[in-house]
Amino acid sequence: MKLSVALQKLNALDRRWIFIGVFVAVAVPFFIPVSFVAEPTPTTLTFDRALGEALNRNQPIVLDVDFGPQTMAEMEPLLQAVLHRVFQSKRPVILLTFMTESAAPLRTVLARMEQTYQLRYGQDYVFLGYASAYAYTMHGLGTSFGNYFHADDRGTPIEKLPLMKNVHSLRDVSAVVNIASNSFPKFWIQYAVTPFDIDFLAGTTAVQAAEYFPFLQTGQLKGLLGGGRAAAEYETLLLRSGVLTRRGDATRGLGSQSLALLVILAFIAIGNVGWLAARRAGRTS
Amino acid sequence: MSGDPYVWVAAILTLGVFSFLYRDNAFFCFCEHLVVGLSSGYMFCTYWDGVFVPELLAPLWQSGTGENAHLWVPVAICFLWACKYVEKTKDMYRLALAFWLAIDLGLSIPTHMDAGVLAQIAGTLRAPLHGSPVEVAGHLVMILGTSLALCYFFFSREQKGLFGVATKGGTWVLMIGFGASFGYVILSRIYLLIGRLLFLLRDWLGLVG
Amino acid sequence: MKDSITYRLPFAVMLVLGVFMMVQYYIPASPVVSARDMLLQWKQPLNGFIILLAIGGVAAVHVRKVWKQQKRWGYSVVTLVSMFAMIAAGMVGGMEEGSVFSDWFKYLISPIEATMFSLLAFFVASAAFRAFRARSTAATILLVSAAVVMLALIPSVANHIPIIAQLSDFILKYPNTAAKRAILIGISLGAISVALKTIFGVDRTLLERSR
Repeated sequence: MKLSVALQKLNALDRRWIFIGVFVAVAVPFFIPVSFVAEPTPTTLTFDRALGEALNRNQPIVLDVDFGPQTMAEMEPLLQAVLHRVFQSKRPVILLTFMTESAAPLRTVLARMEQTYQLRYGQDYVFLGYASAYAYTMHGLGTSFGNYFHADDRGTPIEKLPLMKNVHSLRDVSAVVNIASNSFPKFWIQYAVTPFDIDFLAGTTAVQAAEYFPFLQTGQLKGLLGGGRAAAEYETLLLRSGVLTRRGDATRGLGSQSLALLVILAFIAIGNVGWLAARRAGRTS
Repeated sequence: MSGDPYVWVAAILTLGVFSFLYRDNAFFCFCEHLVVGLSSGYMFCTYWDGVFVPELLAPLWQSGTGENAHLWVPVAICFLWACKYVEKTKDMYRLALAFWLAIDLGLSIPTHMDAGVLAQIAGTLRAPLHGSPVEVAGHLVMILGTSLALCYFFFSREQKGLFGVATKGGTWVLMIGFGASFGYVILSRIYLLIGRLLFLLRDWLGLVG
Repeated sequence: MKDSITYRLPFAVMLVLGVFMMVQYYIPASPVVSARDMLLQWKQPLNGFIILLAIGGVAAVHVRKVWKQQKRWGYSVVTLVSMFAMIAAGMVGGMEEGSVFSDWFKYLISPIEATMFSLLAFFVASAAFRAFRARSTAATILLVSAAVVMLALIPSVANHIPIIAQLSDFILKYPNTAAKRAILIGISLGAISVALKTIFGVDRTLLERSR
């Protein structure tokens, strides 16, 4: 009887205990020197294969980066992994963003990449900067870059950038890769990929990952990386292929992620046990 | 421990926002209002420098009566939009709104039809019914599941009898989808917390390497 | 008044431009593409202008609050000062990497926004504890599906119990695709119907005169 009362009390557990549980589960693994390995899933392997095919086509790729500080912890490792993969292949990259808050962190990441790979701005990569009216710009890029980006992020007219000399529209690039924390991959698919038949890959937050599986099945999306876990899988893949030399923050967070998920699953189980006990007590009385 | 004053400021602001977990307080409100102001300022500069000047003012300045003369039209539309704030002229704003909406809605019709309806129906119907037993079973589940879930969204008919059974099946399919999404939502939020704790423990306190 | 030109003109603009944007999608001829490009190009500065107006609106709200010394007006001072300081930093000092503008973004905006979103980890865990109960068949299916996907995301579980990873992969690839696809088709058809009704003037609520 006492056990039943105790179980019922679990039902009304103060949420601050849950907060403490989650905090401890995330913090403790940082102090324990156990490394985890995220084995690449078929979805991650497909992404890498599709990106590799696009990079082999000897044309520039477009990389649209749309995430702000809110989701940086999840998206930055993903972006870093993709950038390492792309810059190591020595293919030119055209970067752009449709989100104001992406511009500043992207400049920081690019400055770091420029040093690591000795990149020449204007030839190995360009950053066209921010464009508003995202859906219409995506659609318009299908026929013209120049009409929508008059100058790059540094104020240079795009016709003066050597990399852009042979790039007039999305038809002149091998693929579009969108690393986004919002619905922009959906807009790319709707406004550019389907009408202009472009190869498209996306890296999204885990929140959105499940939404994109229908597009993977139809082929509108050639590859998908869903959030920090997929970034950790991609890091594993790149470590094995020698593109990366040390593990990134996504792999670093695997211990915390695992323990936190277990704690939350335990809380869900406790909640259900408490609820069942309360229901049974209600029936008996 | 970091010696960079900026890192200290960032850490104090991080703790200020975390203080909300205990309860709403003045420190949290300060952080909240600070970020509204800073973000608005950030957006103003980005829009001014990244859109307004390069896409409108600079081209007009260079050849406002030549090849870029058409850009006077958006200037006029901006002017019509601003009419909203003057009582006597606020009706003119509807013209700017009509322009704005017409392009949005007009373009959304064929693109939604192509990418969101036709491609999805084709993807469902073309799902290959060969390969490994798991793949065949999976594709059958997908074809049947899509049909049942679509039945659920058909509200013009009472959901009873055979149709009621189909909509019930549709609800279950939707629940599996929502469950999968929820699992990922939790993972996503945990990664955001990992990011903040890594900042506090590594970049600020230097407790972890 | 309803027959006046000022009343009718927006509906006419909506009809002509809306139909043009719809039809141009299927006509790749050069003059049509040029006309479309011009229309889409106009959207960029217009978007920028609307955002600038919105920022002006935020400033106006807080100025009014300070002027009238309404409740918690001190926080509005924080908002206004930080807004104008950021604008000054960007306009005067530039926005490139290493500038004050960039540093403020990195060390003031980023930590606050990132931490606000990270709070969701706590609230989503609390919500899962309270709401994730096996009350009915549908709720149980939701619970089991979420639990399988979550377990598969734990590397030790996925590496040692491959059936969990395979089951999660199956759920995501097939029933999840079916569910999300049905929602997508529903949303698309809904959007098309709303757009058609608005363009052809069947639904006039968006363009009616404000009172």
